[in-house]
Amino acid sequence: MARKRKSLLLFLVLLLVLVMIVSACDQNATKGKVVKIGFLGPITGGDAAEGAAARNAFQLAIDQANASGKYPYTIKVISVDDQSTENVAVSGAQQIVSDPLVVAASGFWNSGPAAASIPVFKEAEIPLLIWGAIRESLTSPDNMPWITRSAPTDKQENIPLASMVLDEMGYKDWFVVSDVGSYGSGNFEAFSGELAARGITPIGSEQVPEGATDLSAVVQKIKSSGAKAVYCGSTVGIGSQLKRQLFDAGVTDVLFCGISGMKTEDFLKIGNTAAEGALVVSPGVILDEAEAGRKFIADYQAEGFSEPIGAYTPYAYEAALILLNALSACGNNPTAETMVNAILNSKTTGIMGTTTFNEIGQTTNVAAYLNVIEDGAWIPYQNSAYASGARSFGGK
Amino acid sequence: MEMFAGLLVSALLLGCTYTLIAVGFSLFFGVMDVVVFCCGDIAIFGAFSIMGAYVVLMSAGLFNTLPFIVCVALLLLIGALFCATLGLVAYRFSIKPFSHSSELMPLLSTIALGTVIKEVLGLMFMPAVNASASAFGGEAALKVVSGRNPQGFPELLFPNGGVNLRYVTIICVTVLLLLLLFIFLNKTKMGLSMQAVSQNKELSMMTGINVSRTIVVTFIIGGVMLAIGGFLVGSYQKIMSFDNGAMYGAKGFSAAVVGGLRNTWGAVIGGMLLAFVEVFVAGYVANGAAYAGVVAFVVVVIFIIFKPEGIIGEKTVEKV
Amino acid sequence: MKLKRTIPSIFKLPEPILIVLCNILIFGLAFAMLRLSYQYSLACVAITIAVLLLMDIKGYINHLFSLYIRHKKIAFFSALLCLLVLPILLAGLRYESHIAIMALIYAMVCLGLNFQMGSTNMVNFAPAAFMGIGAYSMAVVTVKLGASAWLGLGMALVLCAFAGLLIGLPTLRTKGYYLSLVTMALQLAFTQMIKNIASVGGPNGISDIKAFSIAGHSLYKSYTLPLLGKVAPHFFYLYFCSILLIVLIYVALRIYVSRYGLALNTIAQDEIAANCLGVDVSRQKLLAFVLGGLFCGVGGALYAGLTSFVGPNDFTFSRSLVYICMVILGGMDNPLGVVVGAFLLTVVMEKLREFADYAQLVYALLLVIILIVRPSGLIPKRVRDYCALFNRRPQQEIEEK
Repeated sequence: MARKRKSLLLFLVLLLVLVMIVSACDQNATKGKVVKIGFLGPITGGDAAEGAAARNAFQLAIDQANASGKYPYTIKVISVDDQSTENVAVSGAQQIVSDPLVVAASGFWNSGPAAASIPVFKEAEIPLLIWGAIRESLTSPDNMPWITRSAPTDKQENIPLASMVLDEMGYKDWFVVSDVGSYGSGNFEAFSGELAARGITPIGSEQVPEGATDLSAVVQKIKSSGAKAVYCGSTVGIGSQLKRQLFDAGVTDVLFCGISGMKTEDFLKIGNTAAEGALVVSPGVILDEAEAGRKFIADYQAEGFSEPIGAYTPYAYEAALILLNALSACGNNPTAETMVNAILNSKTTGIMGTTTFNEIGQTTNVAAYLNVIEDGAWIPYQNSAYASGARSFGGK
Repeated sequence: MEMFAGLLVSALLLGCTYTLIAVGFSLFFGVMDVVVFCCGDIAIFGAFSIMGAYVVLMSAGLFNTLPFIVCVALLLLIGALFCATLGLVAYRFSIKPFSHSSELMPLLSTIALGTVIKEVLGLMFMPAVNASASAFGGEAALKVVSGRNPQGFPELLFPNGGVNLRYVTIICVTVLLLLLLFIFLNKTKMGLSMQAVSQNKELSMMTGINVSRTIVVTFIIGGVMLAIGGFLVGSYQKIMSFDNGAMYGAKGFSAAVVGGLRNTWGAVIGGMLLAFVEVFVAGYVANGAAYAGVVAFVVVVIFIIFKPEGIIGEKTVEKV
Repeated sequence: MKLKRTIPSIFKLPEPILIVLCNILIFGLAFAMLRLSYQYSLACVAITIAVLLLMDIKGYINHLFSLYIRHKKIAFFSALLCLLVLPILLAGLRYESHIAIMALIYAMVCLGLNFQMGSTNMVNFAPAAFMGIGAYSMAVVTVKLGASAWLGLGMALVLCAFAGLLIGLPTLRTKGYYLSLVTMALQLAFTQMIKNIASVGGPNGISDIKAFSIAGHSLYKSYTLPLLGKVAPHFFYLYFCSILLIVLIYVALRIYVSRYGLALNTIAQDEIAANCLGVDVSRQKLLAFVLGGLFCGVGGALYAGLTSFVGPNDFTFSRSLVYICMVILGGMDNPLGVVVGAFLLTVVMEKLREFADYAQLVYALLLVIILIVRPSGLIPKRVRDYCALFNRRPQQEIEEK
């Protein structure tokens, strides 16, 4: 027993010493004046492709600013992963706001984590610029002046699509499909609202569980309903599955349109003939068409990132430009308080046009364009055979 | 009427995929008395290994030299090999160590193993294939994408034959497989000894049956069944995701429970029942698709509470 | 007395001081894990696990436990003092305080799960759903009905107890796998239903949940205090959660050493034998579910109060698996072990967020390895010590009797 007691004590003392050594080691010194900006996004998990590409673009913009020598301090990015999960995002937000050098943050591709983390930023009085989450309620008078957004909302994203397919093409018999998730139901409501505004009642509507693989029952419903056009407000998993199962069931004489979540290369995995003619709206502008956009693509590719540019990657870059613009308006000693107004009053011309914010912190720069799948590739609608009349959508 | 027929076909096909996974569950449960909860993940692993092998064979140019049907058989063989190995790994590392402890231990450990399989699939960088282009001997678009993205399953069942031929093949293969299993279980010595072990382990040991060998063979056969199940799931769904396994596992297990866990035919009936409930609720109830999964689980819970032995299972009376 | 005489003090250190030192070490370690950057923090976790295992092999843990029980007053008050000091050390540190609070909340959920999984050997796959019920009742009461957070907590307790009863009812007819499947089905159905019901926010969840407040002073707010200056908003919430956790640990320990806890263990060993011994199996099982539900409900309500937002994705099946992992890591059927498991895994989860792609893989591998190598967890359950823990008389007297 005596030996036991002795070794027990020895153990504890050893442990204490170890902990002390370890604590002593853990001091990271920083040199020079530093200003920090937080970045949040789904860098790992199911949405990693989108989040990691955005992180790359954001970091790229900051690196370019640091290299330009325009700022009398070094700007550092604290990049935090939210894993598309609410509770992870909240602690990540805490991690960002707990750093005393942080003056602003930009974040979120998923609306759920954004909604969960907004109270943290409001409470800490750190401005947050949302670069990719599209749920409409995120920017509101309640969240002013702390929360701003440079991306379009789900409503704003659906408007160009609706005006094209409803007003120009004139489809009347609609079947609306989405998933029950946050993204899906947001789009579901936005598009249903557009239909209602034009006095159209959809023939049918269905919401399917997230991650559903067998949509055959929904397909049969669409088939027997006689709908001429199908709207799918979901991500690529359900969107491509629906398109393929419609094709397999012989429902080819319909228009298939949807939202930007489907515009990835993964959609093409269902095969060229099955994917043909899917019409999808994308936020932003066609980067290739302007000098600034081409430069961004070249810079991004020059860095050799492994993730390709996604639908919202330019928005992350743009968000960084807006924050940088606000930083230069704040002089030599930017603080969170000065940054709040600087962001709200900023007027930034970047790769997507000129961004200003309205009275609830939502961007006024709403741009979107349509894409269509032609022969196994996504191409802008205006350049496609569909626009020129060489091919036509079903359901006419 | 046309809608009814369409739903019937969908339910039948979905039922086939559920059935094959449920049969895996009931095979393992019959012989080992444990629920191997990673059956769904093993099946998806099989599908992914077929996908991977397909890309390798494609790039090796084998599809151009060998007849198509030989290549498909080769792919199936590779998938079966992978799944059988995985079945043995599951047995060795998550079932055998717990043969003398509480029955819940293997349940937990196989769930954990299922997660391991799923995550490994998600971390692996699956070479993506442009499915339709390559099956016609075209250029395989070898592009490296993350394994977490949805993957396209290659068109291996009559790529030129159209949808209906594919559906008929899926149903035929399932029926054929079940018949083979039936013959194996009832007509061969090994199958009979599997049944004997399933009924009474100690007694069968006394009659000279090599119990451990029987168990190993069961896991190999179960693995092969699951590989073909994964192949059919892939051919039916065309788009596979690394995390589909958990869903198929839950559905397969539910099907096995509804039918009667020990009974292979129970798995068939349970799988079909579950698929029919799901498809018809989604088809005929307004906005039913959102609730179809919940309804299926409600059916399972009702069965567990009121008829835990399943539709054609025998009631077991606990002996003290 | 006999025991004491056989241990001559080698270092001339009286036992009470050893206990106090030990407490300081435990809390210092916890602080270090929270504070340090991930390499060092994980080193601390690894060292802790190694030391715990070694101490268990050598039998020091039991020795330490009996020391604590012998001087339980000193042990308790010095631990309490440490616990009171810890939030002061974390006063200005939001992030670390946040992790600490999350660890406390997870510990509550795991304590609840332990009643079913540890004590009664019924694997409940739905702790996250219970937590969700607690969080959502808090959200509905404060946001939709506009009532105070305390009423929300009360509602969470009532609803969770009711849900425990509901989920427990099938247990009267089923057991083993079937029971686990029922809980699994309910967990999956819970998330599906929450997403489909628009009145509780559907997939968007509910935001702007009120925090707890005492006499008009919110517990989750940044105050400027004398000496400490401006503290993180978590400061008082951390105290609040600590106090609740102490209460819950007390209740759990009390139940653990009671006849009721013994009855649960009997059921775990052999249900039929328990029945023959006169244990009302159905009632005890139901109680295990209701009690577990209550604990998870408290955790859920506190979580909602902390983040002021609830959404369906925080209460999914994979979260349930994490809680199960925590319980198994800490040590099934040992309330203190469960708390340690919850703390360690929370820290690991948080510090390893850069490698989140591997998180699920690590949990699953960890679970398999623990189950194979050491199913009893880091701090295995001890032989029950009925009189020692809560009896007023010192242990020596009992021994002499």
